[in-house]
Amino acid sequence: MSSSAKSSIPLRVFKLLSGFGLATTLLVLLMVLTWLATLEQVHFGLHSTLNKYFHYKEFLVFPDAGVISADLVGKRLPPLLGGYWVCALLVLNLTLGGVIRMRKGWKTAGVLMAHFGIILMIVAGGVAQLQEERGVMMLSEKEGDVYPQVADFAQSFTETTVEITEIKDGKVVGPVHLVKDAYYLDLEGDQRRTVRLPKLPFDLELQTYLQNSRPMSASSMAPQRGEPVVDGWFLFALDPEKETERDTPGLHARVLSRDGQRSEPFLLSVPVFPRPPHTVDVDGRTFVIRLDKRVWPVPFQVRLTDARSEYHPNTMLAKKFESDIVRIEDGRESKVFIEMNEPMRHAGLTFYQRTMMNGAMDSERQATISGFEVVRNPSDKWPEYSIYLSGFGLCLHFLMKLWIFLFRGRATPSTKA
Amino acid sequence: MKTVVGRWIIFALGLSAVGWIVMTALRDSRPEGGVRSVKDYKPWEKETIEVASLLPIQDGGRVKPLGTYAGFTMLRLHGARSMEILGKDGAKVRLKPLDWMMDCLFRPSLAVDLPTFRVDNSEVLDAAGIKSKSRRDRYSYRDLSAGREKLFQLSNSYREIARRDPKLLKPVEQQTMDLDGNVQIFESLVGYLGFARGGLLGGASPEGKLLDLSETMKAAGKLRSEMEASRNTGKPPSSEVQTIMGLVEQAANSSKNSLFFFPPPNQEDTEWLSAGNRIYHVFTGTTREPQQAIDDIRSLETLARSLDGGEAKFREEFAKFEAGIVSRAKERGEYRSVPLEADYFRKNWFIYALVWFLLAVLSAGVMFFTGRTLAGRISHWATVVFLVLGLIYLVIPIVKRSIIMERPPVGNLYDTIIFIDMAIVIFALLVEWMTRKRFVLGITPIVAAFLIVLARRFEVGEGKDHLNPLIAVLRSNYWLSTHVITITLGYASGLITALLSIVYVLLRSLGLDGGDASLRRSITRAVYGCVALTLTLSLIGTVLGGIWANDSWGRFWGWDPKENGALMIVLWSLAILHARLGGYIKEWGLHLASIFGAMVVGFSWWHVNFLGVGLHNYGFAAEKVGAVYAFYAVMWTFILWGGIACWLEKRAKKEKTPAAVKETAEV
Repeated sequence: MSSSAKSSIPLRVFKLLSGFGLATTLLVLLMVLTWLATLEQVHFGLHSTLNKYFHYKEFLVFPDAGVISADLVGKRLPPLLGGYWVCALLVLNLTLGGVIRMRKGWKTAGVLMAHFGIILMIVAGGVAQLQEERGVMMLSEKEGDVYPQVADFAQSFTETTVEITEIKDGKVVGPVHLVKDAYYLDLEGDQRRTVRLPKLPFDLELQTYLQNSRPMSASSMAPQRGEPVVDGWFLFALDPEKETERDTPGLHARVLSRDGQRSEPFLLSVPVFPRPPHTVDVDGRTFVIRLDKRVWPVPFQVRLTDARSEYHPNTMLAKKFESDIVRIEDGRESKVFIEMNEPMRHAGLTFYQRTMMNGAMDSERQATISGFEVVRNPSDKWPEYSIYLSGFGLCLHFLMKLWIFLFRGRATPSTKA
Repeated sequence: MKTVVGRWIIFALGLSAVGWIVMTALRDSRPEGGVRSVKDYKPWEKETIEVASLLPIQDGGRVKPLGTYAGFTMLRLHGARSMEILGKDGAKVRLKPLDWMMDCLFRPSLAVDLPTFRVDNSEVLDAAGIKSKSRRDRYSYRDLSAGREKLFQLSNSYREIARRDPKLLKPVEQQTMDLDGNVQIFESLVGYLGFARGGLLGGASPEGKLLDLSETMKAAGKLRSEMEASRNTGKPPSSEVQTIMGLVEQAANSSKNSLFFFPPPNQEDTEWLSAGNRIYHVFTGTTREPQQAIDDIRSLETLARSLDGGEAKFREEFAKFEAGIVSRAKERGEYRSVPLEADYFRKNWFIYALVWFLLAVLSAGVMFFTGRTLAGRISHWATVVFLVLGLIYLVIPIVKRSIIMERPPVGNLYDTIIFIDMAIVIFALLVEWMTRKRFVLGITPIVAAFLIVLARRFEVGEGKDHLNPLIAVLRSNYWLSTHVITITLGYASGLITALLSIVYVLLRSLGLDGGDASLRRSITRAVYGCVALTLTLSLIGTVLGGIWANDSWGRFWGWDPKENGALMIVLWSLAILHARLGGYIKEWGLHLASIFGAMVVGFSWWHVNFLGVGLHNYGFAAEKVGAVYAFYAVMWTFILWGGIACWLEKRAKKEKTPAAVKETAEV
């Protein structure tokens, strides 16, 4: 009788979860998911493909048949376990099998280190997916340009918010009230939702969210799909961009005053170019309401002093993008240099050189506007630590095996089968 | 009997692979279509070409010898680095890039009859109303001139379509645009020194004098003042001034956008100047050294006209012109690698490497049939020596390229091909040194030769200089020498692993190993070790790439297709190792999985470049993806072959010893 037959159920479960069989299956599955996601992003763009394959909400993934042939786009293939859950199981399998169950000794030291490193790396990926915040800060060298010279905020690439601000005598009064996109992202068709705003003299009714849209004048183009026309304008739905950050979402809204009156509907749309927001008067107070990419604060100010772009001579091939900035924190100023491959890391945030461009007034090739990608990721450096660990472990193990192969393996006498 | 048949099968397979390589290499070096006759053509003297080869110019963001510029321009227009014609008295002449470039610049009347343009699809010419020959052929500028205007119009309309959505373009439309672009490049070359040959008026006056542009440039100040006065007063300038300024503008425009011959006067300026820049700057008063600019233009005039006095006189003038440019380039410290680069292209290192590898194939063939006899031992050592010589002829140009580029050897796809070729040969020699079983020596030279042909074909297909500098985000020697080298070595390791497994499948399935368990075990252990090496290199390379991406783009992992490809290699290697450790696969399984690994490497190395998305997207033409599918098909054939052989072996075992069913089948 085999030993497994005597095993208790928990022990058998433990063996299953820590076994090579599960490890192999998960590794192959993860490879297949990666392959499918790579091919599928050609048709659907990166952002939506990632959400489909690797988001924790997706327990099962139905690959699109477009990966086989472009003619089959839209048809579904049999389901696979979602990437997030494959990784989670892999961490469990690695911990149980590759750390706890594995024999410990100098012969397995390298593999153990590699397993620890990989666990750290996958955990870093999970933490990043749950905690990472990402945005862009555009700064200009000159005051009064299209972008500010000093800023203490970053703007999200994909998330939006409805911002409500009270205005008096042309000035902002009190705090800005924000409605997160979680309140309206799921509003399809005629679906509507009332958002209670207890600190304001009205509530908002939100309806029909469009991931990518453009306000169109009804006089230039008649609505094709029965879109509501407001003041001669309607939101024309566009196909989502493959690069989701280029989408300009749109939303329909109404103001519900406390006496139960519903205002006429109005359109909210992320502006491609600066545009005056929607204004409402309630109880003698004036509010402006706008939809824009979510802004999140940075705990210090950043001033751009010099943006430099350099091209390889007589070409349009970028050679260097670099910026001199001043970080202003509690009145103290520190000069910082940022360039490609050399970000600024400070206060849990990382500033990367993302883009360079000329201001509206500049005709020279020398840039005057610098764009920084601002990232808050608690696990920013974990992958680096993990590679030191697993790289060293793998090299150690590989060299040990090579040693055995070279100096013991050769001694094996040859036999005829 | 079975062994003999097996040997002949292997021999036939090897022969057809080598035959394909040799035929491709020969076809690439032979002209297509009939040999064109250019009856007045007299070749340039060797000494003249030698002098011209070291003239530095700035192109593609760096200073390079004129020969390099000529080579890649000819490659783009002509699709090859040499051209064969029948010259004066029907003599066969082989033109190299510099000969052709010198004709374009100094003998345009001959250049227009050279079969410069390679046209891969005659429909392009039919649409432009140009008389076509066979579907693929070569044409001179004179052949195309009848439909020049139509070609330009068609190209413009297709450009409009491409601007809206490049995917709407049909291949023939893209080819029309390409041909139009090539014709424009040719026109800019033959027109560049028009002002120098025929003066500002394009020929001599009735008195037999030429109106030199350099002389006119001396009066630039006066002409400028007159134009300024006319602007201030609102009165038009005199008709003479208007005519001269129009001619000057025409001359400057025709020599402005290419061939940047002249180092700038200011040490801080990085952009070299073309003849057109020189002319413009003098007439607009925007140069610090007007006299030097005038001297430069005069030297071009003297040079262009000196050809009338014979080639020796021309050579003398060329040497003088070149000496002036070289001394200025040296002062700026920009001449350092020019002689080295000229030498690099002159030596044709990769062709010699190809010859060594083909010789290694021959000696491996002899070794294959002679076994452990004296002839077998001699051919074994000959194979090793030829492989080492081939390796040396790969390493030298790779090192030279690194010195010229001032960066580690891998920075673009072309670099990866030659680097992987080198790494595969090194890995194979190491495996041979460690196992002494010869099994790797037969297949390695074939693959090494194939990769050289692939590199040449890729270079011809791209038609661009792969020594040019890299974009900003890639300009990090630290990351290029760690991440890029490691990941490329991972590809090489993955491929050599699959090669070893292919050898295993062939030897075992055809009975060539004679049932030698020791040999089988050696190959299996080598494959296992190579899978581990692939994993180590790919994992370290991938994560280093992630750290680099984190510093450059603000994310460790971006699910970019190239990153995904590398991750897939890691995952597949891990899956193989874990399946082997768990006993889910044995010898056959390990080898078939390792051949599948070559497809994963192929996907990561080549296929993702055709997807048209991601940061590593090279913008390849989608129709070339067929070559990748052909590679997959070959690998699937070996997997299928191995699978069938494994199944037959199992069945035979069962039939022989029914009682021995208990024996574990190796799957």
